[in-house]
Amino acid sequence: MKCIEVKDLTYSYDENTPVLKGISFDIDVGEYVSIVGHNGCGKSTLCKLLIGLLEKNSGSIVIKGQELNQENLTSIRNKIATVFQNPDNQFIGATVEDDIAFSLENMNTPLNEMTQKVKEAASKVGMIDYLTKEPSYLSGGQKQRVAIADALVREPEILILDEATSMLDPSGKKEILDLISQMRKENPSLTVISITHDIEESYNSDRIILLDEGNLVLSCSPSELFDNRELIKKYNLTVPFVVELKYKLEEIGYKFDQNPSLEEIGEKLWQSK
Amino acid sequence: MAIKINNLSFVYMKKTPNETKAIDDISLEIPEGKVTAIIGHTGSGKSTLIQTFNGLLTPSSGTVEIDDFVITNNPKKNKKIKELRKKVSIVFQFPEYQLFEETVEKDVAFGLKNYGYKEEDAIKEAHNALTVVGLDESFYKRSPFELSGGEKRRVAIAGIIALNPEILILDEPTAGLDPEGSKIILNLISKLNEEGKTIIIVTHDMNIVLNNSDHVIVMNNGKIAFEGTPNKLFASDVSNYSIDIPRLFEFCLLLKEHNVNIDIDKIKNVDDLINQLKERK
Repeated sequence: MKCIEVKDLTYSYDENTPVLKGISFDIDVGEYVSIVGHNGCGKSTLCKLLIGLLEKNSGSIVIKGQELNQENLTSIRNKIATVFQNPDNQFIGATVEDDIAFSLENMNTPLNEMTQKVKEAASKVGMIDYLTKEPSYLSGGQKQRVAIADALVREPEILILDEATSMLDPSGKKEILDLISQMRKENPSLTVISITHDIEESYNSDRIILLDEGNLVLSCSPSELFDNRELIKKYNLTVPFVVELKYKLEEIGYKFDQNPSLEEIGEKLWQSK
Repeated sequence: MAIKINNLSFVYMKKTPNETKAIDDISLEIPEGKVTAIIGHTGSGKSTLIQTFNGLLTPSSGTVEIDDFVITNNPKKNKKIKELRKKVSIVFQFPEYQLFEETVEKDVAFGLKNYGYKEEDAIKEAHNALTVVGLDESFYKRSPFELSGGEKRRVAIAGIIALNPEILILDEPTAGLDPEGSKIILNLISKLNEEGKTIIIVTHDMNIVLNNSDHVIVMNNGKIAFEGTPNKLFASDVSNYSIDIPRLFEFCLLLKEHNVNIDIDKIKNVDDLINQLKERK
């Protein structure tokens, strides 16, 4: 079943600078898709269009069978939770618990149910000991975990991460990515769209959509993309470590099967020593 | 200029219920002319530490010595602080949020004017700094707000470089940039270091520690958990400090385990490894 259908979508901030030049793609329910591309390629604009923060110039966005427009904006937004890059821009509450409760309050959730849900979300992101702390006492990574709890508490059908892990330390990042895969396991119909520069992260997603100067230039599995040196070169992409290592070893005469793991590359090296 | 830190402690919100000891009696020296990385998980005291380096935070106890400047817990004694800040400058996390002027050149010149430069001289120095960060004339008259994230960050860094500090401290200089933008910033940092500046980078990115740093300090709960070369750090037991060993280094350790003859102390990037393997072939 299709979760998101985007057709011929265009957007420009002003007449002379089109940001999205007519892009089309589908995302299935339960899929984990990475959207990648250089700064200025239109990734974040696309994200804002999907949640109706910006209004498209032309084309269409259909989410779970509903066309995104003024009338059903609210009902569509209730299905989507977004976590942005900078947690400071999305912290609204006076304390961690207030912040997580904010959307529940807007939805008239009864108090005891709300308290329970806030606690659950906070412990999922490892912030249960900070419920009464003010945001100014939290580090950037901690604030971002709260932002993710804000998203989780709404039990969304679609989770959009707009470079959400880029400010976290390695363990925080791993924790969040593990958390997302756990959420996907518990709820296989959760669709995750991750706008990311983290090439190792996108390597683990189901599909990579590559944007370049407002055009969708590629939509394929990570291994398909990283096996194609010409594409990598053409779009000046950074590759995951294992791919870089393989390329460079091939240049000095080693031969490998398609998509070898690090272990397999290592084996070749210690067998030939 | 080296930075010498003696028995430094820093406590936030002293004598309140929220009292937090961010730095707990540490002593260390940041070597001159090198790139030093300060790492540690969120809340370990990294950002607090660097803010004591130019007196933005006054130590609760202990001292920070830089040249003949000594920062103590007595603010009245820290008189020449403005002069010190010209020599020791900090580029904060997301410095592009601090841009405010109408044009790029004016923004870069702002700090200089505060140090008494005449408009004309300040603009001239601003242009030099913009050249250093790789932004040409076409940027001078543009609004900083219409630039890309990576370009904005370079403008912000130019504003600091224009002051010609001897010690440049950068808090998460590549956070939020795409790989290409990060590369430009890291190359810029190497270039500034080669020109003789002492560099301190606060980072979560272990690849920056391995590829770009000479020296690394690991903070943990306000104390120093490790001090030494990146290669020594990654070869030691790091399980307690939430440090992700770079993939490259992990792979080198695996090769070592299987008796592949490589010198892991000399491997900073993939090319170093490839070259060692090539020589062996």
